[in-house]
Amino acid sequence: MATEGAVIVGAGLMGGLVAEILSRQGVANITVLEVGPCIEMRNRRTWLDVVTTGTVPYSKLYDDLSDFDATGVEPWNIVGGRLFGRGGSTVHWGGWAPRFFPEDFEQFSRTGSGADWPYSYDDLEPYYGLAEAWLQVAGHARAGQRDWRSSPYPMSPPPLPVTAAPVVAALEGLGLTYEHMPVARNSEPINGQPQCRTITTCQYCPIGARFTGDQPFDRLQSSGAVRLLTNKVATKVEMASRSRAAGISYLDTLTGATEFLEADQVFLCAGALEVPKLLLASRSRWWPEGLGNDHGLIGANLVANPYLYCRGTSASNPMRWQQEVSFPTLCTRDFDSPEEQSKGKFLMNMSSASPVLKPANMMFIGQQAPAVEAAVTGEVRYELQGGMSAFPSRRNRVSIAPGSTRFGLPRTRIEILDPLTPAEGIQRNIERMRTVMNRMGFSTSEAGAYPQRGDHAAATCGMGGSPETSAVDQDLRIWEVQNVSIASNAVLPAIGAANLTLTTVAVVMKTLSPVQGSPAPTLRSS
Amino acid sequence: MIFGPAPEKVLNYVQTGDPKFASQSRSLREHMRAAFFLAAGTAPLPDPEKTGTLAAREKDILWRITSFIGQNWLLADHSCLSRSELDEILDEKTGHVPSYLAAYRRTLELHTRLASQLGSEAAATAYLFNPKASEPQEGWDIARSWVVRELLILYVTWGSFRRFGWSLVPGFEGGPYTQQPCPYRTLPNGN
Repeated sequence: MATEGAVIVGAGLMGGLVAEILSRQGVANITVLEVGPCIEMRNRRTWLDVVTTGTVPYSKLYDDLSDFDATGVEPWNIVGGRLFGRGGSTVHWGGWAPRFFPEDFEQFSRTGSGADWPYSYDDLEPYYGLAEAWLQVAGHARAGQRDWRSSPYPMSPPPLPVTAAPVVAALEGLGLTYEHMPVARNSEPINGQPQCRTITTCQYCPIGARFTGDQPFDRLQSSGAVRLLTNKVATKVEMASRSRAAGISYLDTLTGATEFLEADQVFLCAGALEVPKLLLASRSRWWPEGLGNDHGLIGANLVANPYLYCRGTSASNPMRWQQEVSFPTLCTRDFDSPEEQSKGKFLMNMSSASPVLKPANMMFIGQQAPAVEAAVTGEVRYELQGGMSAFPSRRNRVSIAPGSTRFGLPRTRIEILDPLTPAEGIQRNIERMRTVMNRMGFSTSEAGAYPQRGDHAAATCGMGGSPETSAVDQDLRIWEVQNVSIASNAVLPAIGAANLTLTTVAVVMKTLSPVQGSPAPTLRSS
Repeated sequence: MIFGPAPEKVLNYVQTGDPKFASQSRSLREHMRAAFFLAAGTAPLPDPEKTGTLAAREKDILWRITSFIGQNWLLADHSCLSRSELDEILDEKTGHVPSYLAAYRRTLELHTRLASQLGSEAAATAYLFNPKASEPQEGWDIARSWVVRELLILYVTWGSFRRFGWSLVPGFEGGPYTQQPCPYRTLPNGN
């Protein structure tokens, strides 16, 4: 048994953020438990393999099909949606960092479905600025934008690529607006990380110019501020009383030993699927249904962004369009509006994965120079994509399934009994993408919704105003428990169409690191 | 004080320990190895644990094989893959696990046999790049999967893509996008 100040479960983005905040606040003895291994980042050989084989070093750190059971009206397939290891899912993320809009915080009040947040966009706005600085976001502020901002983006965005030309022309022709997707890319050197050099193997940046969750741990571990234990599965939050945790029991998957870490403060940062599973596994005489689960809310309200696509083809490509950069660039938020909220808001973007032609593949199968040249100006394919807002429902939940995974985690059960968003809204937004594609002069071949991977799973331990309706209070502490907090997408009560990461970082900063003039930090260890 | 393990190859992170979990750990390790070794083709990478450095003579031949790509596909004027850079890449590929040392040497052995059969090194090189070669020989799958395919990708990525009118492809270091001109083609008012 060891005595610790703070124990953090999960070495992903949120674990790193909490560890950095606690370290700045002078908390001693911070230990982080991580299920997965360390993933080597910024290594030239590994990067060469990414270029020549397309294989990333984390390709087997995802869920397997055998790791979960999915049932209901929209069975999820979470393979590829989350990543176990130091840095967590941001090791593979695209770095998309848009803000929510003000109406996203009033979902129930405005639509009669879903949930309201306990505070407003205005309350969170200062922390969005801090979150953008921490995540190293490059973006372009627009006059009159509904997500008003009190501080500029830390950096200017990458210029829009020439491949945006047909999409921009179509959007303008339809009377729609467009903008830069805010992305966690370093237009300039920042936070000790280098400037983007447009190598554009963004799924594995060889220089660290895309923010990834391992970078805070690099800083923390090099200074000795944090002890990171990998290949350790937190199995239970041990309680000393109904209102106070004693620490964390964990399984060392390298030795098979079960250990216990005493803790003054526990932070659960393991994502919207694993945090509720750990709480449900933490049954005690004080919490017989699982920690914080007296009202059956732990794991309920599971929600995620439905993700739509529309592919189109043109017979020729005289401009030789080819996505020369692999980060997201162009989007429109015209359908991410209050008017669309009841049917599902939509953030539409141009895929950075097409059009792409791979001449080396053609050469490998024996195509000669004239054939390759003809392909460069021949048929071209584009893809439009987009995420939709969704509505949490108590009947949609994550829980524990029998058995364990190869990481030593309990298997996952995902039950979706109510649609995440109205089918009518999905169809309407698919038609909108078809309209844009047709306006581009492209014939649409395929369109639909991707299977739900749960990349943006949220709301399974939602924040709110009372223990009857929420799992945690505004300070992100489990109701009635003094020293267990959740820092994860799990605490978001409801989601908009935008990606969640920036918003969750802002929420955690608001709670743990208030700006001057706000209440003192809420870390309490007595 | 216990810290997380020092950075090393992710393949090496999953270690076997207590027998109760050894099977899970081995399974993950094998999964990860399989993901890499099978990524590029059907032939497993031979002797991936055996590291080393190719001899200068071996690198000479691999450079001439690589140069064939530029000649055959009319890319040489655009390539910026230098001999010294290819040498450095070969050293990276042979000096670390999973090592390509055996794959390169088996390819060179095949190349030597083909040169003897076909009468010239040039003919042997062209044969390697012909997927419809009528009589594949020992080492053929390894040569195609791990050497020919990857040299094609490297050659196109290291500047030759410009022949197609493109300014950048993933894998080529274009430089900061804040510079003028931008390393990739942009909208006229792309900012």
